[in-house]
Amino acid sequence: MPTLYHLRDGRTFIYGGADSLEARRQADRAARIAGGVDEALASGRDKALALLTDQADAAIARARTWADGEETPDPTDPASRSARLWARQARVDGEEQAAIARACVEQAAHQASRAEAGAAIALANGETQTALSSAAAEYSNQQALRSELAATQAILAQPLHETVAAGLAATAPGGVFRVRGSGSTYAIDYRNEAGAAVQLGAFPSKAYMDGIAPAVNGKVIALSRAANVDVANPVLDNGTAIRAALSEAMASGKTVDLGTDVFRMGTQWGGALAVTQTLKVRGDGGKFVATNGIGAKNFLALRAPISIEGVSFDNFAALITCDTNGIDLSDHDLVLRYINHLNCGQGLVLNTLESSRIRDLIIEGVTLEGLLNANGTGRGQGIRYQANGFRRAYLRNIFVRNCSYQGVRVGGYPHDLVLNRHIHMEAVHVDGVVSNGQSNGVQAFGSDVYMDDIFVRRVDCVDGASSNVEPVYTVGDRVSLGNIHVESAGNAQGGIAIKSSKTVQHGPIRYRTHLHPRMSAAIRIDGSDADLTKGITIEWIYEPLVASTPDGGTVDAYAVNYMRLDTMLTDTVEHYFVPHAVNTTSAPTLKIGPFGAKVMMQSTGGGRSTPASCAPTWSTRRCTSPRPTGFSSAPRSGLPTCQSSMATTTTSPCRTRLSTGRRTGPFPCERCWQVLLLRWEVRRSRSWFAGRQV
Amino acid sequence: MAFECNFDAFRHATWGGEDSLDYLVCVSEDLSQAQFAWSFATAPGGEVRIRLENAEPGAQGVHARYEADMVDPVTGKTVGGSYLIAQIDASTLKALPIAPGETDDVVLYHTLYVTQPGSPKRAECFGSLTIKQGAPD
Repeated sequence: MPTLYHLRDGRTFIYGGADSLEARRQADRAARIAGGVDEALASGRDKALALLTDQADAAIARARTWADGEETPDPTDPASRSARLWARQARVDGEEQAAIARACVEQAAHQASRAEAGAAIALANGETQTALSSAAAEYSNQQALRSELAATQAILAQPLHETVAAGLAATAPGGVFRVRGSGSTYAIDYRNEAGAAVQLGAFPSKAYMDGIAPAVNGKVIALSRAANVDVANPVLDNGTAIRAALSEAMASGKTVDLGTDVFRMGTQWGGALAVTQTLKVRGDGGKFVATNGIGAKNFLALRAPISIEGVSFDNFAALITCDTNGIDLSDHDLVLRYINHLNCGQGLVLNTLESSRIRDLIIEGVTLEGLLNANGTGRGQGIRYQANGFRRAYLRNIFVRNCSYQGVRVGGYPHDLVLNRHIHMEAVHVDGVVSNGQSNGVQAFGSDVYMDDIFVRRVDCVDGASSNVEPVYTVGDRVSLGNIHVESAGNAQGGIAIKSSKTVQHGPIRYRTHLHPRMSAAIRIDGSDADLTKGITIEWIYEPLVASTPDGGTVDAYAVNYMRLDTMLTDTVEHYFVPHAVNTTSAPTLKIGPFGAKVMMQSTGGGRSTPASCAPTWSTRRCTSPRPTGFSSAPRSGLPTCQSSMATTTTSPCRTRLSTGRRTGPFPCERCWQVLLLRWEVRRSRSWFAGRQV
Repeated sequence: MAFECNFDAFRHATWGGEDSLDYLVCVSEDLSQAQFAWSFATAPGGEVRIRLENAEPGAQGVHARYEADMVDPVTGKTVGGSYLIAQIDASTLKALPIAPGETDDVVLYHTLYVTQPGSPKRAECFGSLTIKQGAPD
C-alpha cells in the first residue's frame, strides 16, 4: 500500500493505504453509517424519555397518594394510611393524652395544697410545744435556784455550834452543820453521815488573815512580813519561819522577796531545804546570813527549778546543792543572778551528781569570796556544777576568790559530753584556788564551749603533790577561746589544757607564772584540729628555783624571760610545751621530759644541772650519752650516740667547743647541742635585760 | 518530522519500481528537484548495505514525480503532490550476505534523506526492510 503523508505546519500527517479518492469514498461511507446510527439513537432516546415520563408520573401520583391522600393508599391493605391520615390520627391521640396529663397535674396540685395545709398545722403545734417546754424548763430552773438559795440561806443562818457533838445532835443525818473554831480557824463545816461528823472544810479567822495578809496577798511573799519572821532582832534565829515561808512560796507559786532586810538563820535552819516546787527568791540587797559558823549550812537542795536574783549570802556552805541524782528538770532553768556570797564554804553551787538534767544554767553577776585555812588552802569550792545534761550554760561576770579544788566548773566528765550542749563563759575571774590536791581554776566540759575574758591566778596544790592542777581546762567537741590570762598558777597537766576535736583561738592567750616544780606544759592540746593563731605569750619566771638550788654554787637571783612564744606555728609538741620537768624531792633536778626536753648537766662529775647553772659564768659541761649519771629517766630512744671523745673524757672536745664557741671537731650529740642552745638563750636573755644585744 | 515506514521485499524479485505498491506520496510538495539518499544498513548506525540515490525510472535508485492535480485527502482540495518511487534490483538483493541458515530473513534498517534545493537535508522517513527469502526462482 502506498503511504500518503503531508508535511504541514511542522507536523507530518500520514494517510496509510489509500489514495485520496479511496479515502474520500471510505469517508463518505463512514459518514453515512454514522448518520444512520444517530437516527436510531435519537429514536430510542425519544422512546426512553417517553417511557420514563410515564413511569415518573405514576410514581409521583403514588407518592402523593401516600402523602396526603384522603383514602387508603394501598387498596390491597385496608389498614394502610397516608401521611395525612396518620397525622390526623396522631393529633386525636395527642389531645387525649394531654387531657389525661392535665388531669394528673391538677390532681397533684390538689394533693400538694392539702399537704401544705397539714404542714402549717404541724408547725403551729410544734412551736406551741417548744414554747411550753421552755417555759417549763425556766420554771424548773427558777425553782432550783430558789431551793439552792434557800439551802444556802439555811446554812448561813444556822448557828455556830460550840462542839461537834452539839452540831450532830441538832442536825438530821445528811445535813450540814458548822462548829466554831479557834485561833486561826474561824469555823469548820461538817456533814452528819449516819451520826458521824465528816469534815467538809474550814474558814480562816480574821486574826489569821490579818497576820498573813501582807505576805500572801498577791503573788509575792514579803519575807520580812512572813509569820514569825523578825528582822528587827539581830540575834534571833528565824530559820524555822524562813523555811515555812519558803515552803509556802513553793506551794503557792509565789515569789519570796527579801527587800533590803537581813535574815538570820541559825541552828533552826537544819539541812538544805529541799526545793520540791519552783522557788523564786528576789532581793534588793537583802541578805541571808548563816549565824552558826562558816560553811556549816547548805541553803537549798535542787529538786525543782530555782531562780534567785539580787540576794546576798554570808557564811553558808553551798547555796545550792544537789542531793538527788537523776532529777530531770530538762524543761526548766536554774537561774542565779546578782548574788554575793561572802565567807563562803562551798560557794554557789555544788553538784557532783552527774545525772542531773536541767535546761539552762544561767549564772550571772556572781561574787564568791571564801576564807583561807591556816595552811593557805581555801575552804570550799566556788561554782561546781559537775552534772551532765544541760542545754546551755551561760556564765558571765563571775568573780571567785580563795576557794579550793574548783573555782568555776561546768559540766561532768568527758565521757558524757554528748549530754552537755553549749557553754558560754565570759568575764570569769578566779583568784586563788588552792587545795591539798586537785585544784582547778576554770573548767568547762561541754559539746560546744566558748570562753572569753578568763582571768585565773593562784591556782595550785598547796604541797605540790597533785597531778591535777589546771588553771584553765576545757573539753568539748568544739572550743573557741580567747583573752585567756593565767598568772602565777602551777600546773601539772597543762596550764591551759584543751581537749577538743576542733579548737579555735579568737583572742590572745597569756600565760605568766613562776617555774613550778610540777610544771609540764603551758598549753596542752589534745585534739586533732587546733587553730591557735591569735597570739600566745608564755612567760616563765624561775627565780625561786635559783634561790633554792644548792648546786648552783652561788645564789644568783635573777629573772629571765625564758621563753616568749608568739608564733603562728601550731606544732604543739615542738613549740608550746615547756621543756621542763622538775623533781623537787631533793635538790632541784631537771629530768628529760617527754616533749622537747633540754638536758642540762654539769661538765664535772656529770652532776645535775639547774637553771642557775645556765648563767653565763657556768660554761663547762660534758656529755655521758646515752644515759648520763644521775638522770632519773632514760634518754629518748633513737638518738645517735655522742662522739667518743665527748662521752669519755672530762676535757672533751664538746666542752672545748662550747667554751670557744667554735664548731670544730666532731659534731655534738643532740643533748650537747641542746645545752649549747639553752646556754645561748640564757645569755641572750640576760643581755636583753641589760639593754644590749648579743 | 520523519515518520516510520516498514517495507517487505523478496530476495529473488525486484523491490519497488513503477508497478509496485511500495511507494510514498508526499502531499502538497514538489520533490522533483530534490536530491535523495536512501540508505539501508544492517542495524541503526550499522554498515550500509544498500544506498539508493536519484535515478531514472526503471533503474535502481529513487525518483520523484510531481502531479499538480493531486487532491488533499482531508480537505479534498487540489494541492498537488509528489510520488517517491524507489527500486532495488533483484541482483542487489541476491548479493546481500545471507545470515546463517538459508531460510533466515534479512532485515535492513533504512533512512530516507531528502535535500530540496536551497534547503538543508532532512530525514523523510525511516524503518525496516525485511528481505524475505522466498522460494528460489
